[in-house]
Amino acid sequence: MAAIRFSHVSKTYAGGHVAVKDLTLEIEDGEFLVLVGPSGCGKSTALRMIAGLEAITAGVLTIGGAVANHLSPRQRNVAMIFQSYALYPHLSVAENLGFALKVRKEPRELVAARVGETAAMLELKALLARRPGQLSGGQRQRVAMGRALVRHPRAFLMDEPLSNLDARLRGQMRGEIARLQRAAGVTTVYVTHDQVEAMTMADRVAVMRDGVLQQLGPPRDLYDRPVNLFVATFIGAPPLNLVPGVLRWTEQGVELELPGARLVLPPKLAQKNFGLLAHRDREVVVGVRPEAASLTDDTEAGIPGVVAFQEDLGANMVTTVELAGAKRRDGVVVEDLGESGIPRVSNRMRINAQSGARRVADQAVGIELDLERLHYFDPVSKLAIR
Amino acid sequence: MRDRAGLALLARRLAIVAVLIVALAPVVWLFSIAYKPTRDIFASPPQLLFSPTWDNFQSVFRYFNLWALLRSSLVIAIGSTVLSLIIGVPAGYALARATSPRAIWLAYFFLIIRTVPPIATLIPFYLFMRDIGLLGTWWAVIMLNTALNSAFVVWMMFSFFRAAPASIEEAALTDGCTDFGAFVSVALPTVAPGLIASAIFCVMFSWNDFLYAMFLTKADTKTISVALLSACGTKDISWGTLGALAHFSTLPIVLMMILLNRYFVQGLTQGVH
Repeated sequence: MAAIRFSHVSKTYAGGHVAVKDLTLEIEDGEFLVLVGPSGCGKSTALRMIAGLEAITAGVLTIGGAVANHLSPRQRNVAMIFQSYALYPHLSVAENLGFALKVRKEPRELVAARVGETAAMLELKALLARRPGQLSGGQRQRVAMGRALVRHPRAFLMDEPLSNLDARLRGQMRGEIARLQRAAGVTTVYVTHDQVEAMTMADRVAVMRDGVLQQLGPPRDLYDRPVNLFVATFIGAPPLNLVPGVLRWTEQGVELELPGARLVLPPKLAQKNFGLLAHRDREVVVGVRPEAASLTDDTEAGIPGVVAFQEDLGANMVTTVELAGAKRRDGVVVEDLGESGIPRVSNRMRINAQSGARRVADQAVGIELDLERLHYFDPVSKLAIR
Repeated sequence: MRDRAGLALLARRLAIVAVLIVALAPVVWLFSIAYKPTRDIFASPPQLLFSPTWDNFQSVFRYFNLWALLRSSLVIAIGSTVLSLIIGVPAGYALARATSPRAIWLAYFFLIIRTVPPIATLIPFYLFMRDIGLLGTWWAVIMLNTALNSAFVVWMMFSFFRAAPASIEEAALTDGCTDFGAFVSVALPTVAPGLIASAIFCVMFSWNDFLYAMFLTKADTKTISVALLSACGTKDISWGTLGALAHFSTLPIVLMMILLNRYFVQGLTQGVH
């Protein structure tokens, strides 16, 4: 078990492509850290640098306090679980599990004991004689887990280990991996592009984009206090709604002008957020979590809108509403954001209610916002306004 | 509907039989002449029923040192196959795992080496072997076959290793293997069908090599393929002896193919893409 620390680590490929830019990040001993981001964001490269499968171009990587930059993978004693599982096709499940111990020339009795113990823990006992080719996807995944667990390594590195499983099994294995990690207490770095995995499994989440760490924190912090538009829209499903707005100081207090409505912000909220003052009379991007808005049939209340369609998810009802009040603004906001991998600012809003009345398309509705839970972003810098 | 399917099946079987007849007729004829008295060999119409004779085999044992011929063929085939694999397999692996996009061109270059007509290289190689004192030895033929076959092995194993996922070797590295350890204990077993297919090709090429063996060996290092030519005398061709000798030059390869047929087919269809 060991803490892992990146300090100012970069990875530049021969062609000049920078995969990871100046990454500084400390993963505590025993922590479950999830590296999340869209494909090509550098998360897998960062993971492979810990494993020693990718050379570090600049900066220092330490594992357990010792500099690991130039250590070979075998000297690092970290276990990696690959997206493809990378099981040895010519070896049986038992041999796959015991491979690392055998390479380290552990006594035969110890290998057998550890393999037995791990197989029992992962319910692989009946499969020990089989070859990987004879296993189902879920079974292979468990063998890959077992191969990492059997070694008692200093850290687990997991590269999208659930992405090849079907949705049901994925949900089941999420819980299983988190449970096994807590039981083993081994430092774990888990790479995924699935924000649900990040939210449900991690102690802390690191969001990456274009090789740059965007935000690091507990899942709830990222959800409630995203530092920029990218993190705000990447975390959360359905994603954060982005609506154009203007902040105005009036006699009634701070007013938020949204398409079709003017809302007066509670005085304490406006006073708490100094950043809002700096954006006085300027266009901002307003972020509304789908559950921070609710629908009412009273079209006079809240923001007027028209139902576009509804998705009944059983426990939840997601309604997409077209804001009726204003036409799309074609300012800097709309154009810029669409290009940078962030959902477009639009006059549509998805509203997620635990249960809701069925509404038909084109039905006029009112949208009531939970003003305490709105997010504000600068349309130019894309940073959260605080 | 059923009749049509039955007809199609029948047609397919007939086509297979036709192909088999065309392919096997010369072989059957070659083998059959070994058991025929000389006067029956070119009898017209061909004698399908005849009383078999062992005379031709007896004269093969009398006039040829058959065991020396087979030993030479075997030593050359196995020697050049082992050397070709020792050189070609690691080279193919290195090319397959190279990050440079130019590696593929180098792999094709090796394939081109195998396509050079051996006759074009014979005279320079002959002079070279004479100068280094290896003319007339098994080594001369082994080295030349190795040069050509290892190039083929490089290309073939390159294709196999490229088709095998590198993540398995990376898993071995994180499991504690050295680079060489990962190559030996994980990468090689994964491409076992390719290794066997490459070895079969090498054995076949070397065993059937006539040109180099003809010019670079001498009486006591001659191979069975060269001995076949001895059945052609200055005045006539001893067809019966040729048929009997053909048994000994063909059967070892046929036997090997029957045993390893499964891997050979895999080798032809897998990895090569």
